[in-house]
Amino acid sequence: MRGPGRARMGLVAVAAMVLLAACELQEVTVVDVVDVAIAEVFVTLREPAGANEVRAFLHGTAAGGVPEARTFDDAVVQVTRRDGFPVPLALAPIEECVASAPENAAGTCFMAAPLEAAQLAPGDVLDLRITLGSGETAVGAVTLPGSFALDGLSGQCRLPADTLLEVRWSRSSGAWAYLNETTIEGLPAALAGNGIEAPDTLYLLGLSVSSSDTTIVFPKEFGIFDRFDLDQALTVRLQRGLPDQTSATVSIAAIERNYVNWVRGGNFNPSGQVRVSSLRGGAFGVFGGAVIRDFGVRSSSGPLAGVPDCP
Amino acid sequence: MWSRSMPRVARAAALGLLALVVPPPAAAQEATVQGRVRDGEGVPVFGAFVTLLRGEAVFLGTDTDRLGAFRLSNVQAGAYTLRVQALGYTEHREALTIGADETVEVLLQIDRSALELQGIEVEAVASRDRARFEEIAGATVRELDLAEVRSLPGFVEADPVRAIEVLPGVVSTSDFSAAFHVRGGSADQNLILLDGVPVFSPFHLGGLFSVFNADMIDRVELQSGGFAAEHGGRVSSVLEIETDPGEGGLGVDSGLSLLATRVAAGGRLPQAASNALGHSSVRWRGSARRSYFDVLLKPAFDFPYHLQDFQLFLEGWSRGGDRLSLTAYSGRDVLDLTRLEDTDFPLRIDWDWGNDVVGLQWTHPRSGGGSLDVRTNFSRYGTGLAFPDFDDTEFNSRIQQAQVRVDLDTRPTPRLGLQLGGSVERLSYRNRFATGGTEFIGGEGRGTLLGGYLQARWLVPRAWLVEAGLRLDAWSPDPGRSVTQLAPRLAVKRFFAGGDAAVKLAAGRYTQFLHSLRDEELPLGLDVWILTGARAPHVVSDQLQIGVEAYRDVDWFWSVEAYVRSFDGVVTFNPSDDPNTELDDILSGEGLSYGLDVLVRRETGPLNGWVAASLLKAERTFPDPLSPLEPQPEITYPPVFDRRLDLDLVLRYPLPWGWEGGVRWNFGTGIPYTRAIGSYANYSPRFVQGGRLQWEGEEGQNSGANADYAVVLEERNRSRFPLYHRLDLSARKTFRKSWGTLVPYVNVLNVYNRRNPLFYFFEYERFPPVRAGVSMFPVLPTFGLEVTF
Repeated sequence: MRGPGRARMGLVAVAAMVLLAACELQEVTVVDVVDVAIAEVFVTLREPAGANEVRAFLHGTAAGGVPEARTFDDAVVQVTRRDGFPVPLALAPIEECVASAPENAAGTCFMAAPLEAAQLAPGDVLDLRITLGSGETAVGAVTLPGSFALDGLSGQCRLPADTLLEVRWSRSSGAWAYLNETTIEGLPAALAGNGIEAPDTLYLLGLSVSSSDTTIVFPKEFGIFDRFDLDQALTVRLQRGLPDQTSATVSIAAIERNYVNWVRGGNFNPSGQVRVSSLRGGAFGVFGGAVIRDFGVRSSSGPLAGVPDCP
Repeated sequence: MWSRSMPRVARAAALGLLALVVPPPAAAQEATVQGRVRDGEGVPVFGAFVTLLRGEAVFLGTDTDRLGAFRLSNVQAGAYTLRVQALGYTEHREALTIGADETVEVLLQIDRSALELQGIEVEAVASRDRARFEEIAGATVRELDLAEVRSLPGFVEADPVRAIEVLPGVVSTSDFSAAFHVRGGSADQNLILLDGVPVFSPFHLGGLFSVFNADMIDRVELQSGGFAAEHGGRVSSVLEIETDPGEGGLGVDSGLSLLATRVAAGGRLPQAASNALGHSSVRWRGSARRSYFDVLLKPAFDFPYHLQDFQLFLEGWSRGGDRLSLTAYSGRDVLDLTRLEDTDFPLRIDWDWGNDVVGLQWTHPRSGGGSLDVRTNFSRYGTGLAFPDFDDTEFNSRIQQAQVRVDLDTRPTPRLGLQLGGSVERLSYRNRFATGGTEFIGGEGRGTLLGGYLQARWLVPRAWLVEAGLRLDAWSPDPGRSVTQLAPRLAVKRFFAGGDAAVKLAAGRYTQFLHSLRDEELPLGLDVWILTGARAPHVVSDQLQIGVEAYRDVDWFWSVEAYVRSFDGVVTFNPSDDPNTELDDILSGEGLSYGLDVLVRRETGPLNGWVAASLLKAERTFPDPLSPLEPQPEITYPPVFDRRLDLDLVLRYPLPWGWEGGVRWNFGTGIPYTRAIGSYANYSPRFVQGGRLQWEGEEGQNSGANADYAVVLEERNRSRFPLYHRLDLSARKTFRKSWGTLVPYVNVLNVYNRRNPLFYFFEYERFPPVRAGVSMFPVLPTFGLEVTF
């Protein structure tokens, strides 16, 4: 039935295209492009504190029709703890801020020195000041979420194949939500016999809303935003648990107001996703904070030497 | 609670009062003729045209109401012939001698006839309009009868709700939505009643057209402002849709459009059955409608959508003239993506939404006019979205209302009318959108609304008409604190030019205890209702309108009406809703609108129709919770329905070879939208992979569907789309056969293919940056067939 299905889909697509073509408006060149500085500044706290990071990535709107053309090498980015402890950010290679980007994308990365970042702790209140080369300034403030701990999970644990794991953690005071992420490895080999296609590394996102929502079922409740995009058979398969001989890294990140507003966005706009800025002044963007806890899972039907069973 | 915008209201009130201070002409001593018209079975005849003749010249005329009652006021003493005409009945005449200041009560019986009296229907409608002109001071009421609804060029098939877009004061923001906005009010501020029963969200296909089957409709009446104290619950308008119970003979109306097939049948219960039910006559009418694409395309593929609705109306009359009626409606839209191949659609989804409505009404006519009404009704709306493969996902929303109300309409003297009534309503709602073990939107609540009103009407024929009313609503929500709200209403109308023209002023307070959270900037969407209380405030709207209206001869009517309205307690989603605080997901704000509505209408003759012009300025003001400043600043913006000028030309005219033509030309200034002023790569940190930013667009794709860009917006709704205009034509012809009638019809929407923008897309990531977009309806011919037997 897949062949005829494709043909029918093609018929529908042609009909939809005819209809849409009838409704398509003529393209008009936009001349009044507004050049806006975008600042994405994130403070991430981990255990131990030496793994803390403060990153700022400054990029721009598509100025003059050239995507991401702008750099901000002459900008000054300063984070200050409310008690006056300064955390200056210095220029860093763009790869330190960005893992993947559009072709020819530009921008400028700033990072805090690890020693100074390590002085930051959950619950700190931080101020941000960005001074652009033009002299314009942008300011923001963030209250980092409180510390929390995973319930019985650290390092790595073994999860029997096709078993669900209820992940629990203590409450992070001041958190607005928990961003729950996982990357699963080994799926192509594990699912080859089932005819299910999977990427080498599958990234899935889950969410717990409010500081008191402190549980999530792994892997069933991850990937809620990917259900339209991923192979349906794969997402349905993961509702039962991890296949045998796969492994995963899971991170639970307590996030605060600015980050939540940034990612959940504003009113619908047909031109693209709308994000809510927590900066005021000469830049649009986010000054967000996250407190992160993570652990690893290895799926196996039998015991694994040196790897305790997940609780 | 007069809002900060009220100084403008007060100024307008002062101007209005100035227009009324000139003393009225003295009223002569005049008589009244009143009574009822019934058929041979004792059933009241609705819409009969009752005239007083001097010789063959018409002296006065009016039509009968649902109870067959009529009243002719301002009659000079003398000898007359009283004539009664009605469709399907023989003409009745009788002589009448009327003394000065006398009130004459007559009971008239007319008999059925096979002959139809040409032109009576049009005259009856015209006379209803005239009666409203003479008997209503405050409310701005516009009526469309079934013939007008059918002759209006429409989308696929006649639609009673879409038809009202052509009336003054009504703004529609999109070809794709039948939702309407009246005089600066939101769509959820319109009270939509089917035979007196509220319908929450009367739309199919996410708003593309309404749920009302035109074959079941007798008339549509919109009160766009100044409505009397009997109406509570919504602040912007009242849209009343009345079902046609039929003439009692067995008959079937059916239709086939490009969208659906439909059938409506009506008749009368056998006399023995009627008698067994304690009635002299019981008439019934029912309809069913279903879209057919899923059935038609089944051999080729599974078309995943269908709609269906059913409607039933029963009307019984006792020998004493009491009326008992039952109205029921049930409709569903179903989007079933569970049976599609996964190659056709990646996710199995089962989604349905719809309304269920039932109402029972008993009406007891009072001697001398007026009636006692007792009603009970139930209405609910709900939507549910299920993903069969993911049991952690629940998307559903529902609201329901049960109501009992009693209304007494009494006329102690020919010049004084009193209406009073009370109601008890129980409402509840529940919304829950949860997936992946997390509730994203949730809320439930309930409440009891006790309402009561008293309305007095004092009439000096052709001189003064004064209406004074007071409404009291006591709302007890859970969660939330109880609220008691007094809503006074006052309307004054002063006639001049022998009673053919009038200046009128109406002021009042209106309240509403529920909101829809639907994003009105989306052309299609479903309502998500909430009740007011701890989560959201109730709406208080103070309104003032002043106008002049007049008849010229029998044919022409014109009116000019200015208004100003304030809205306290309008709501929108809080963009900074704290998930840790349960009750902060709604922001409360204020609204203001003012404008001018003009209507010029030719009501009779082969070429008839109207021109309606609406000038509007509307705004909404909300606090800015994202601002770090104290005190929190406010953001004021024009809402999406702020169309500054809306012009409608509607014509009905005879075409060659017996075809009937219809024209609608709509012209409007552009509605506001929020323009994207720049775009940027949409990065997200991935904490599980070290925390660096990830761009989720497709490698090498800097633009197009697979690119991932976010946008920076200008101030909300600061830009406007270009002028909107569209010409629609319709033609229909009735072929009379021995067994019934065949009516083919053709509609052509947007005849000159105007590309009215629905959306603009700004693509700054392209070089050069472009503005593309999608238009509303292109030129769109549709056709259908109606069969009656």
